[in-house]
Amino acid sequence: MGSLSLQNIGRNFGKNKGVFDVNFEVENGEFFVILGPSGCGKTTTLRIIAGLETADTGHMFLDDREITNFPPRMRNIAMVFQNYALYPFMTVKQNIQFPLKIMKMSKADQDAKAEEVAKMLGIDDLMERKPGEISGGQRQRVALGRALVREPALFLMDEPLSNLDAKLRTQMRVELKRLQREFNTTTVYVTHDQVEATTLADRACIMNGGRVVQLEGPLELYNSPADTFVATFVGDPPMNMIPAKVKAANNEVMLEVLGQLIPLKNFTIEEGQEREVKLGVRPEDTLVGDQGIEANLAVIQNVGKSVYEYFKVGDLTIVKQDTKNSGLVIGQNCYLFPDPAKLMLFDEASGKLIYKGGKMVKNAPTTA
Amino acid sequence: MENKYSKKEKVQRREEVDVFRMNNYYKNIRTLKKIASHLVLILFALFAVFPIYYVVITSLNSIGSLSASSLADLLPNTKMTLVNYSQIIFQHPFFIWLRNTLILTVASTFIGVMLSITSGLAMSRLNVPAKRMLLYMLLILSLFPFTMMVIPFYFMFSNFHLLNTYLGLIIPYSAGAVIYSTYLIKNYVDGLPTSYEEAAQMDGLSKAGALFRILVPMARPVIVFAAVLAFMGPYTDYALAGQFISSPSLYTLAIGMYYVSQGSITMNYGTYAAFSVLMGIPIFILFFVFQKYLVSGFSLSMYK
Ligand SMILES: Nc1ncnc2c1ncn2[C@@H]1O[C@H](COP(=O)(O)OP(=O)(O)OP(=O)(O)O)[C@@H](O)[C@H]1O
Ligand SMILES: [Mg+2]
Repeated sequence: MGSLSLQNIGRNFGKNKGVFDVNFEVENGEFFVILGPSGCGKTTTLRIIAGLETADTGHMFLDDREITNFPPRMRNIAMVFQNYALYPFMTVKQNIQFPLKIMKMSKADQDAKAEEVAKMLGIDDLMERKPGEISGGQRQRVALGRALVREPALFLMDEPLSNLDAKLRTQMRVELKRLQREFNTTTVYVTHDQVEATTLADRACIMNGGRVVQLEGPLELYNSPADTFVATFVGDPPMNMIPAKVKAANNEVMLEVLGQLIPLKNFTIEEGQEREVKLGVRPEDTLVGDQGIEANLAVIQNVGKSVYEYFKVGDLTIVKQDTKNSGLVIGQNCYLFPDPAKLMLFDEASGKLIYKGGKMVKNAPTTA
Repeated sequence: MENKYSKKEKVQRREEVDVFRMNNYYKNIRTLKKIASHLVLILFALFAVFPIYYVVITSLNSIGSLSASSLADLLPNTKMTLVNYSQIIFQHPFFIWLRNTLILTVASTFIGVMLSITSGLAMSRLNVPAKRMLLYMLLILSLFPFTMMVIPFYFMFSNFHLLNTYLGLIIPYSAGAVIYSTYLIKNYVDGLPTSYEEAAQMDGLSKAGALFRILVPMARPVIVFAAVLAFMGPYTDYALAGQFISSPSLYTLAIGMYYVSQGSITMNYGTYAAFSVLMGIPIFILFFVFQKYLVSGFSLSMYK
């Protein structure tokens, strides 16, 4: 069991810092990721859920029971800290058993439980060691074990993989997902790494400046970002953002971008009108052709499975991604154009997505 | 004459020789530095050990007065004797004094450290009203010499009929320990991340439970250090005990030391030194047992 609901949760630290009006529901057994840049309020949100920080406003429910003002120990929530926070004076075994000991579980049951969890995490041969005597990856497992052992209703993790090296991180990511499936524990997971978010999440929300800006499945975040912030935050290298103009003249709707005119289908605009927009193109949707925006190849980055080519257009840098080299050499001029079926347009003033996949987005703001 | 090497090769060779010389030069410098630093350290060590040696050698001498002694007495010699020790142990109630001292020191250390732990934790982790002011007050109090309190305490305690009692010493001793140790413990706990006690709260403890069951064991080095400090003060105190205690059955070691080494005309230095050695043994054991914590404790108190 464990469905979580946050309603209008806010915590104001002053100077426009904190979290504001956070709303989301996490279903039972779901892996929910909070994604966002540094300082956007991810940790604060997680700590409010944990009860380590008190919310100024709003209500919080766990399994339809209001827990807004409960102290942490009454919430039946476990948490994995970024620095793991393993008690340094206890052995691995004592660390894992600690929550059970506090529950006053019998010694035999404690041993059995700890043994079972340790086996599952592959740390059963480290039980008598102290946290100072094991590696970072092993500490991470112990911290998971300590959180899993008491079968909490909800599992919170604050950037649990950020202290591991790249290889171990990838490995633990897979393992985390497997464990979460196995235990089927509702999980709220905080990260600023969008790869982690896309690989782990059933659903993810993106925060910026203390507010939730989009809440969706991880692929939707990539494929239809709500605004320019999400569009540039999700994806690596980020989406190309180019100032542009939509013009309706002579019964034709055209997108004017860097002096080039591209015909635009299904864009709602009155004849004779203009609208300032931002053109968003993913690196993989950037194409090279016989005509288009004149660009100059500046850098080639070959990482094996894909090739990134960085072009200069005036002051702008445009990134193109492909599985193979385009055949251009550095310094060579060429023509770039966006894949018309994939290009996105964002409102200049609000940054909201208005056009995507060859048609207008539903409920998009009409004029600036 | 044909040159054996071309000009370019010559330059190259010269550079190689220079590099070789430079490497040797730095190697020698390193060796010299090592020797110099060891010499300095040995000097300091001798400087530190000499007083101990001096006290031990004096305690083994039977010379009555300083005027009768010579520099030769500083070396081990055939006249050495244990008479000073036997005198202290067999002709005086040494073990009663030791018992009195231990009762006082253990009680005041225990009370002082317990109070310091609670106040130190509170000062570090709780929203104590007027926290800043309280801390400054502690700091200011720690600047006053202890002896300054003797006379006011004397008058106060005589009103309360606390003179010539254990309690009359335990109260000021533990209060003194609280002044120093609260600050020490607070500083140490400030350096511990809050995530440990938060993890403990998530694991099911109350805030207070988390502080005591997680932070106290984690602060063990500074607590041991504070305890040793709290022990040392009362153990060697003469100023307060000498004024408050008048009945011989309550004498502490420090009073006993003064009493014993008081000769009829002159100070009995051999006895004095022997008493110092006897009194030093428990301290020596204490430092030896808690060495690990004390080294870190000293560095903590120095650099904070
Ligand atoms: N106790 C506090 N008092 C005042 N301001 C705080 C407090 N805790 C956090 N903040 C501020 O609130 C904002 C959000 O902080 P938070 O720790 O939630 O960010 P985050 O998204 O977890 O960032 P990161 O990815 O760097 O961990 C930050 O600007 C931070 O400086
Ligand atoms: Mg954070």
